[in-house]
Amino acid sequence: MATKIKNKVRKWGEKYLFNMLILNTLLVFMVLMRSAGYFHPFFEISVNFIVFLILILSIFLLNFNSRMMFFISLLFWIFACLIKLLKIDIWAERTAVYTFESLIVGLVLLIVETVKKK
Amino acid sequence: MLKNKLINLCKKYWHVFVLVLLSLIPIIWFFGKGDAIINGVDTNFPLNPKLWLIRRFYMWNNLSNGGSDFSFAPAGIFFHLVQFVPYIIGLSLQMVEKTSLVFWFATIVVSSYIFSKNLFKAQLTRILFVCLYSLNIYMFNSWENVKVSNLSLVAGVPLLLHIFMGLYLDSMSKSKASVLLVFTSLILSGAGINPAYFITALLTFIIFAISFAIVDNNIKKVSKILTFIIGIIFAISSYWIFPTISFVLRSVTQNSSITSIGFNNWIDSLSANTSILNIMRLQGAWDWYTFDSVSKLPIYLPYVVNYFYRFPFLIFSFIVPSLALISLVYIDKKKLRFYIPFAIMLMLGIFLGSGTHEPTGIIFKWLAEHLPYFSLFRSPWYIFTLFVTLSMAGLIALLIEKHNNSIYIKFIAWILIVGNLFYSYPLITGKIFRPNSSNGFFVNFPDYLFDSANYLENLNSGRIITYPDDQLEKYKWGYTGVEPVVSLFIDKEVLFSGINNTGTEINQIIQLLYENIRKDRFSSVFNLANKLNATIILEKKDQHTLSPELSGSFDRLKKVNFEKWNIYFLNEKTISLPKIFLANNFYYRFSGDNNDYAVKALSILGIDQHLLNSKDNVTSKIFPNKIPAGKIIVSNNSQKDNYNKHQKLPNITLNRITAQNMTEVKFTFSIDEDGYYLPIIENYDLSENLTKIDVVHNSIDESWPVQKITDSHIFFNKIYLSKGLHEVVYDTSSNLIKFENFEGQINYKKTHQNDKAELTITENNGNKQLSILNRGDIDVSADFELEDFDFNNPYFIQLDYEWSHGNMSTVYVYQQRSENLIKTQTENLPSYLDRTNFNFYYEPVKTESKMTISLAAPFINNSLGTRVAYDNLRVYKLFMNDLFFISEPSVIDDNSQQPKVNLTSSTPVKHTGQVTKVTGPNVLVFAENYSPDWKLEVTDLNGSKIRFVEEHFTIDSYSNAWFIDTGGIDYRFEIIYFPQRHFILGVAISTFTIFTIILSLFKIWLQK
Repeated sequence: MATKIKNKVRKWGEKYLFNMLILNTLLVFMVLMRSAGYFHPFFEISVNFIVFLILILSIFLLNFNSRMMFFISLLFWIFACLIKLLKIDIWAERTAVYTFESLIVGLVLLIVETVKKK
Repeated sequence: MLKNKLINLCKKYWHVFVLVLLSLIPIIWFFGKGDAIINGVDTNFPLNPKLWLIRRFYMWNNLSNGGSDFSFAPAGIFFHLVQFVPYIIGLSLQMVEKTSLVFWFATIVVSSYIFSKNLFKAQLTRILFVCLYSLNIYMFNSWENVKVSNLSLVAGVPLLLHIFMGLYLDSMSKSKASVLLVFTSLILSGAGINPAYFITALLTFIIFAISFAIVDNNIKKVSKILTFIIGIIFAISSYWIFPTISFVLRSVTQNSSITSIGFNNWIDSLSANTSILNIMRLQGAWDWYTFDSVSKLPIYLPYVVNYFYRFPFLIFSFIVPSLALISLVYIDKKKLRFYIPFAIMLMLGIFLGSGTHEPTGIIFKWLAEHLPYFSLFRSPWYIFTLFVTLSMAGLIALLIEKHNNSIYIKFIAWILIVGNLFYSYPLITGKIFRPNSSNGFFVNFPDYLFDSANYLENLNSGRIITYPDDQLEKYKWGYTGVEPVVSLFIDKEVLFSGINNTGTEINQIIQLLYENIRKDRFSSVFNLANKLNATIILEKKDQHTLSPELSGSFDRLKKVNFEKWNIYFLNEKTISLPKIFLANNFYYRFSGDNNDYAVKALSILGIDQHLLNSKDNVTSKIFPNKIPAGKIIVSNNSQKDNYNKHQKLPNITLNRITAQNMTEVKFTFSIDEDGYYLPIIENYDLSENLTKIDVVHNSIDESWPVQKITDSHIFFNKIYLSKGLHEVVYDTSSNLIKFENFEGQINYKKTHQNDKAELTITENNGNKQLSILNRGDIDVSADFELEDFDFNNPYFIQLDYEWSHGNMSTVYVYQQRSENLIKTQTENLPSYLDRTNFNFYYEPVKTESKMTISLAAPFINNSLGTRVAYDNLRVYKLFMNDLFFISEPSVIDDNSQQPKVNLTSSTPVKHTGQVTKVTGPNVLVFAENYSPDWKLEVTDLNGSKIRFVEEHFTIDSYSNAWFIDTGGIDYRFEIIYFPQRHFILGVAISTFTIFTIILSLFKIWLQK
């Protein structure tokens, strides 16, 4: 089972390597823009915004579907749980925000996929 | 054989056993509690359910503080009917409460089970859904306060969804759906008490419907079913929907907070802890996060420490949302139509339940400002979390159902059920009612309460003034309430210090009445009581309060005692006004913009004198052109004005360093017409043997001889006043501290003096002053206790000081009773090197106590210490007495030719009577809070309508009055509260709908 998953992930990685490179470059770029204070005070490039944008871009670049989004949401939530148990409340709250963002994107995707199928 | 049968029966119906057990959970709450009833604060269990049910049929609540709109009342009819039935058959109050609680708990359990049958085949999955939906920490607060809206919403929504699914899947006929909708509408009606909850119920249903339409691409069918269901619900619920809509349209503006209907908009404070993390774990209730700053223990809910700190509770709080998310990862494609609405509700529930909390709060605030009536959703956590609980229960059950064949999954399901039972232990065991806490809800009502209630109920009396005057009634035997406890079981009108609507006119009059009660000013008490139609004072000596007890002077009144409750009759010593009467002798009040002064004018006016508002457009058409009116001019009191202004200023140094002269008070007023006026001053703290007062009137010394003294006012001989502005200056109190400049022997106490601190009288440029040098490790001060401290008036404290080095000089003013500290005020004096004047006000807590002023030199952690010198300490009691000038009307009616009013019938929304011996126009007064929705209809004694221009205005600051000119004809009148007609129309539609449904069912049955 583990080998099967490993092979699947490797194949997927090979297929989307270039897109992952683009995605990561964009991610770094946005982080740098945020740290340099770009567009401030007209628009704040917050971490929440960066996460949300990456989630949206991953639909197009990495072909993520709704199931993957819900899975990411679950990962964020489990991470929030671990941080909360370590009593780092502020990070647990932030991670829960990412959980929610993934949930929203996943839900929208689910509805779009359903309508497309019909 | 029998054994096998029993085993088969258990296997087939074990779920029924579980459902019954769950439904009976409220019984557990009363184990070991004797005859106690769950009651208090927001939990208003009526001690007379019959009275409470009857009240719900009237759109005006006349029982509290002069009456108010009660259009939300019909939504509670069904809820209180459930209490009424066991009550009327003679069950004890505890049994009535148990029956009601079991009914609602069972309704939630059964309705969620019925809904789950549409989604899940396995009984285990259904039971899991019921457990997760009915027993969760969101429901703690709903049950703690027995919130009608919440419980109705939670009980009604699954039924609504069940009906929708039945119609959609064609497994339910329209006739059956109609019958179920009747019951569902009744169950959901309680949600109408707060329209936001009812809208949420509809939203849940609409989300489901839209999701089905998206998945199955069947918009037409869904629309038809939506229309059918919503149409029938609205038709059946018309009896409460019509009055509610009417009220919302009349009283709530589209894009504002609902402070316009008298409640505090507390959305930001409610959203302080509604982060997404907390919402998803259902831990967003505000009272979970209120901790004592010293002990770090929760103030309200002792059990929250388990949820915040114990590992099993922390883990379980994350497991439930995790399973919901896992369910979304492993969607069963065959049931996609259920996943979508649950996912939408989960997302919406989290977003809306967060309220104004970051980061989604910005959108919520935008919606509140731009979406019409969105601000009705002022308690987002309580309203929208149903979305979260329903969706999580549904998603987890779908996950279990998908893998139901696996024994491991079944085991996990059982672990979840049992784990959830442990996790919700406060709800199951009744700990949500804090049984071992001083704030607990289990109350044993003493017998004397019921005895006094019976006595009051049978009295033919006016309104009851309750005393003490605390906004929150907290009794020594356990009950705490925001409204008088007597309202729970008698149908008498009560006046009290309300926690809501504090700025209304009638509340100001009530506060003035309490002030006069505390000051023993009987003349004012009787005058105000008359205007309020109050004839009884109910003194409750079993209440925790700081207010002083009624003085011995009240023993002059007739008194009836019921152990710790005393009933005083005000109308034994004086005639009292009925609720509907004809008024004569009117006085306009002129008082500038300060409404507080205007209300004081009422304390002077006798039984046959009434107050008009000079700013009212309607009264100016009538008075004095058609009916003569006198004037009461209420002058501005400079000391009171400065104090009131100061209270509104920011607490900064700039407002404290300007010296003020408090040895005199200036009264300023304006006269619009030359003439003779009667000066009247409030009699408080003035000499009993006063024969005249000396004043400076417009810079001329004058002496006003006293004409009459009552316990409340001093009347002087009339004086001539010319048109224009006037100023009267009167010398007031002197400094209450003798030898304030430390020249003589001044009495003070040295506190914490030690060998490292020096407290001495020193000389500086020929002036003596109090010097304090503190090199120790504790504050040192000189304390001055006031003699003859009077808690009824504010004080002004002024001093000079010279700071040298060290910590900021500080002045403390504190009030204490025995060893208990009641209030402390701390004033930090800025560290200026020059000699500086500093002054401030102190508002005492109205209780028997002592007041001390402490001039301190706080310690500092350096060897030089703190050095400060104080001088010229002055303490003045503010002169808050008001000065009035009365000009009598040109004609004074002595009542000898007054027409007679006979009241023939009276309900809270309709009063009928007749007026005979009419000779001319008159003013009919109805002593309830003014509302433009009170309408008057007048006919002659034969029933023919009399047409005249109806002028409806306010009189005596709060009452309704009509100017009636029938041309001298005797007449009948009807005073009607117009919104009652919306209720009657609604009842007609609801009855017709239900009747039509029954008739169609009968027809179908006949055909079959």
